[in-house]
Amino acid sequence: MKTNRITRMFLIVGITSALISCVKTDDFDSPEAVEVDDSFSGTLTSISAIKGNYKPETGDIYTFQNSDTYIEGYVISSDEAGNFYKKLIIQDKAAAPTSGIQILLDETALFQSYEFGRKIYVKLDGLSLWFNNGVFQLGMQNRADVVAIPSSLIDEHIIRSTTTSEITPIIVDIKDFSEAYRNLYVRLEQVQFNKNLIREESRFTFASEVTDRFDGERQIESCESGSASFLSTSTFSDFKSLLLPQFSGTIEGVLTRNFYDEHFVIILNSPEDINFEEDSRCDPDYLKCGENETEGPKVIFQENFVGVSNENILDGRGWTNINVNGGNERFEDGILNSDRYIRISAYGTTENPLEAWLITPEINLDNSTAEVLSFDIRASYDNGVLLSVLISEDFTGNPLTTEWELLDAMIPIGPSSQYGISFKNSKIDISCLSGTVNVAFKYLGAAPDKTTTYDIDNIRITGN
Amino acid sequence: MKSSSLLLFLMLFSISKISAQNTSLTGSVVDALSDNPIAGVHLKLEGTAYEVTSNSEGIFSFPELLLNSGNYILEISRSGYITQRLPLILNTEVSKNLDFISLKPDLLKEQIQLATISLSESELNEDQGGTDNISGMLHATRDVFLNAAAFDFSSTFFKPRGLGSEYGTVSINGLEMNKLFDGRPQWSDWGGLNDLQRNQVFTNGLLPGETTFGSLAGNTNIIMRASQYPKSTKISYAAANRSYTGRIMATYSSGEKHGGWWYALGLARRFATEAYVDGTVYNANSFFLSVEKRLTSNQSLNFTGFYTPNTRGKSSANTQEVFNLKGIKYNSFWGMQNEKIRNSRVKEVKEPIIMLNHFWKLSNKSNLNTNVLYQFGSIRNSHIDFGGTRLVIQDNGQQSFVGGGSNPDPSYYQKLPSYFLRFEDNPNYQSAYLAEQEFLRDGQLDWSQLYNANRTALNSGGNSIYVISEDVVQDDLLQFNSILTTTHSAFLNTTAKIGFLNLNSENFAEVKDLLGGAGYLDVDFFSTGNQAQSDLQNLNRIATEGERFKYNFEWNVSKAEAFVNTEYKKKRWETFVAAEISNISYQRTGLYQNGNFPENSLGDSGKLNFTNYGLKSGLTYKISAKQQVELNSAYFKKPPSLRNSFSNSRQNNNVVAGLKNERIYSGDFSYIFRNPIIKARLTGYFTKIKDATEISFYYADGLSGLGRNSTTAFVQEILSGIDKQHFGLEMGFEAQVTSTIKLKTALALGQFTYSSDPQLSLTSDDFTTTLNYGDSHLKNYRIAGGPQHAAQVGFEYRDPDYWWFGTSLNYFSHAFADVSPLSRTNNFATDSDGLPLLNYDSRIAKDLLKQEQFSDYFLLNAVGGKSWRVKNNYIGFFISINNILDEVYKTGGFEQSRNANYNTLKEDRDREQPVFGSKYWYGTGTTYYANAYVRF
Repeated sequence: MKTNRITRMFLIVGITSALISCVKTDDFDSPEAVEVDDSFSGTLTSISAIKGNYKPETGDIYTFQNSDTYIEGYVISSDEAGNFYKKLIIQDKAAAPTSGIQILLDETALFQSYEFGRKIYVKLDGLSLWFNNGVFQLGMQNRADVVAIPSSLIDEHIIRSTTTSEITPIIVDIKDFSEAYRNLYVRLEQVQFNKNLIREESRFTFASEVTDRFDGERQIESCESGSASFLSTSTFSDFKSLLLPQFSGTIEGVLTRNFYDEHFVIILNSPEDINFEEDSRCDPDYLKCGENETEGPKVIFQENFVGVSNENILDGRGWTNINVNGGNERFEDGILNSDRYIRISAYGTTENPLEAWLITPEINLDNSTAEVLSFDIRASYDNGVLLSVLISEDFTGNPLTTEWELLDAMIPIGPSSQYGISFKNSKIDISCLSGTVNVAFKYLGAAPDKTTTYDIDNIRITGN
Repeated sequence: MKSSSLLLFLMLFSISKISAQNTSLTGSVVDALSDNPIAGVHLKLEGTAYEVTSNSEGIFSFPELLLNSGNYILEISRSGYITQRLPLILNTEVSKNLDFISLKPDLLKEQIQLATISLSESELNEDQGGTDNISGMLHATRDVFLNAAAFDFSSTFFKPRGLGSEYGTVSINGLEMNKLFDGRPQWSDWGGLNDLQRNQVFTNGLLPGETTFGSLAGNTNIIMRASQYPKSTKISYAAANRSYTGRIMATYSSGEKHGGWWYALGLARRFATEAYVDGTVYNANSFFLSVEKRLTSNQSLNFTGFYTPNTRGKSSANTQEVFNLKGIKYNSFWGMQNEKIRNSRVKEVKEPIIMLNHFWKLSNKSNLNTNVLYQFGSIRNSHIDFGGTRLVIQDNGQQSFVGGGSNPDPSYYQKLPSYFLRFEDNPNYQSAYLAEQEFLRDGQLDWSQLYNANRTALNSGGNSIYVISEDVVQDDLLQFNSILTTTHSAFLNTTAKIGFLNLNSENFAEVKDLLGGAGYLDVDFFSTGNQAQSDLQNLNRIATEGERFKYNFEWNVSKAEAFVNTEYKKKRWETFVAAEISNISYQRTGLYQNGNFPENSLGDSGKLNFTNYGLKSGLTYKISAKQQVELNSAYFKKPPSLRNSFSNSRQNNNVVAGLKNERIYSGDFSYIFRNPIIKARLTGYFTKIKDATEISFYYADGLSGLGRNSTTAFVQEILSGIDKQHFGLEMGFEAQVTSTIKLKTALALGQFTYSSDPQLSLTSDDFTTTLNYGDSHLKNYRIAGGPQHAAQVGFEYRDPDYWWFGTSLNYFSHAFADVSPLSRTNNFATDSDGLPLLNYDSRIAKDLLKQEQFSDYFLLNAVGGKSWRVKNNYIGFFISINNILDEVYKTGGFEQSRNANYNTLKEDRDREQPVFGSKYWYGTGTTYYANAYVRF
């Protein structure tokens, strides 16, 4: 009887223990990645070939129907850093490409599947092509728009190849930006951000300034040609609040157009694609007399434009105010809250280029020492730094034949879509100059996309 | 405070004897079928304060009865047996001996009770966000109404008197088991041990418990002592389709062994690869051991230890849109991986509990029970984290965090049809249709996509983008108490308790699975620079599997309490007065220096200290043998729970400003009728809870006062000064029409509302100052969580041949969705610049802010079973079928707080299918639970 009980008990414990196996609910093997060979049945055509289907004269959306055509291309954009959103940019070859195109996809984190350099095939049947924001885009038609391919159809239209290639960027100078490079992966060598963007006291971020709306555009300049363009960064990118690097070097990115199709921009995949070298800048030689910014008691020259209700008044005061391209636009009078200033802008003109000069009358520095030049500038509707301030000891009367010295003036970067709020003051030590000098403000704009408006006020030279 | 409670304790010890005539009563109780002695039988001399329990030989003794001669009734009860009321005559100075009282086993009652425990337990785990189930407390009751609440109402999250389990107390062997974090019992800590939990003492409502002052919603003390289990061996198997699909359970209890030893063992396993809701894995084992030794004739020492590791997959609350497409079983948290269901949100509870209980019969009048408990282990909740990044350092040392994945939730609003139709003037029907087709076709997590993404990242030297992160709470709890019960006279007895506890609770996130990647960069993807750092002491750390990340802190809690309950019982009336005093202190210690809060995240917080007292009293008056009335009242203070004391405990040491004790007033009045045929109770109750505090977390859209560009943020919402009012009626009625047929009915009519406008403020790491939105106009809104009205009619048939059958029809109404308090502040009508919204229309606003009331519904349930006695062994089974009509009903829901102002909410509601509509939980369709057992 007793042994019977014990046997029973062991039996129960045994049976139950057998049933109570180790808790094993969350012990999973990683799924294996299955690599398949590239296979699709269709005809392959080139990116450049399909662009011909779009007729710019009508602007009609072209939809591929009953077509077995595919295009192939290499992914050159990456949304990893959040700088591209719901789009892929592909180009036809990994090296020496000739044509690129944007594909709109309704999916985020595309870099997980379509990483940089991945070769893909795009099944065109059912997709639509149009030209929007300055680039060719492939997507799906919804009413009058081409919109992103719904996520459930992505796998049908975008087929990954097993190949991931090294993308060899096209080396190009800013001055050579053109249609031929649009939507291609390029490399700019010897470039830097405009000096006014990287000043220690007011250094700009990539895209988190108060005035940045969707993209932050930052002027870059080629050391070689001096040409300028823009680096465009999304305000949703992961590196939007980084400060712009101060030196010069190379930038790799996708060359495309800005949202309003006004000018070319470079878009980075990652902040790692900027490679600047320590202490290398290629700014022009500025006049360098010293560091003195203290204004002396003696006012040698002063103009605050009080009473200049018409810019013609200035001509009578010995100023030179001319458009050297033969156009009509020159520096004009302006007033806000009864404060008068002088204004220049290429906006609303058709002048391309618009080069205008505003030059002070002769100013004699012989009877003073420790002279400091001071002036205020305000920028509005900014789409690039277009103003420079120069000085000369022997103005010939024609700015183009005069030997000028460039001054390290603070040219403010204004808001891109509204009037600037405040003036920015510059103080420059000009104590090493003597005799009679003329100060010049040179505006080099071009309608319709280089049209920043500048207001200048309170030009003053002081000394002891 | 501690010394004063000790003094009180000593005073109770020394209450002088009241002289009266002396008599005694002894006897023993045996099983009517087997003639084995029964331990743990409760014997009560009605109309007096005398109560004893039989020992392991079935022997009981009332050694010193100070009573007048006369007629008395001895009530003899034990779970699993039919209660007897034995009339007897006691003469002074004459000892009375009742030799063998034979108690008939109530196989049906036992079956039904076990069925109730099993059934409600199978629903306990289904916690829905903030809602929980209280039915686990109500097993032991014989009250008709509460039986209905435990058995038939529990699947709908009905709560008696509208009170959650944080207002009830659950004790095991006299030790309180409610968690200090939220005040609720963690049912999983003792799940699966049902057969070992049949010995329960339940006190309803305001009444103090056997061993505790209690709260508002009653107390259950589960007795899990080796000597209290009759000698038996039992194996049972259950099959079901609710929260688990199978359960096997074996228990063995030894009865008394040579030398005064008892032991009891329990093993159980509950499992499901997929329970009622899709993708809800369930895996739970239970181990139980209790050993008791009689030290002397007056003392015994018991050890009880149990460990019930429990892992289960959670289910999502879904919007109406998702429900319309996928039905009530849909769950977005899972997907297939290597042809196996894998749920991304798994709750794992592994908290072993060990305790020592010492029982000391100090004298014929006094018992001292001293208990020590130690609990350790962890509770883990997992989810997918999709913000994995890699560190990019510029030449000039600047850092940025690049990466982040997309929300993998297949029911994420941007993947649903409504999202593509959100622009009324430009709907994208094609995308909406395709999204719908895709969601209908699959609609589950794509694990391989997550692995592929991590693999691609790994190949280019990056970190995991997607990881499974676990929120871990690791408690270390030491609890001690000592309970003295004294019978001072025939009419007066007291219970006094002192208790202490100390809790160290570590809270942190842990990387559970890197999903094929090599590491996770421990920064906050939504912040930049140093602000993004989880721990400034350890910048840009790469966390690997099993390592802590994101947040890491500990809580220290210590509590001291004293409690006295005095009962005075006369023939016609009974009364009690109970008092409690307690002191509790909370402190947070940050182990990480959070980048958003470098100044106040690391190290100790200030110490919060709450001293509370409480009083309860009650009176029962017996109008006649059949009728009695009861009146109970309580006033007490309750400290805010740990979770509601620190506003953003994961990130900083901030304490909720102006934190207060809850003040609670309550009263109830009952009329009870009992004769051999009819049992009825009618109770009216009223409760007022004042100054409660609640903290919640969510993503809000449409915040005012932060400027145009920052109207969205992940926020902590602090709601303070919440006043609630609960009142209503409870009725239970049962008629034994014939010896086999019983009719029953139960009714609950409640109204549970907010009775004032609490203060709402928001904190966030997205903005520096606390945003104070003033009053949230919640007054007169209903409190969400279960139906406020419920009714039942049913009948039971019990055949003398040991089979039984019962069915009930249950009706529920007045269940409400949880409202978003933020939408009820002035923020709702305020623009981003802090000025009023121009197009605000108060009539439309009123309509938008109307609380959603769920539809009424009927549930038809049936249960039946049979038992056989084969020699001295028993075999039995029961089957229960719930919701036979397969009614589809909502058990709960909440407004998404995303649409925080008039414009965003109106815009969303105006859509044919709102993008951010309320989310709901649904009750199960027809379910069954079948159990078979053998006992020998």
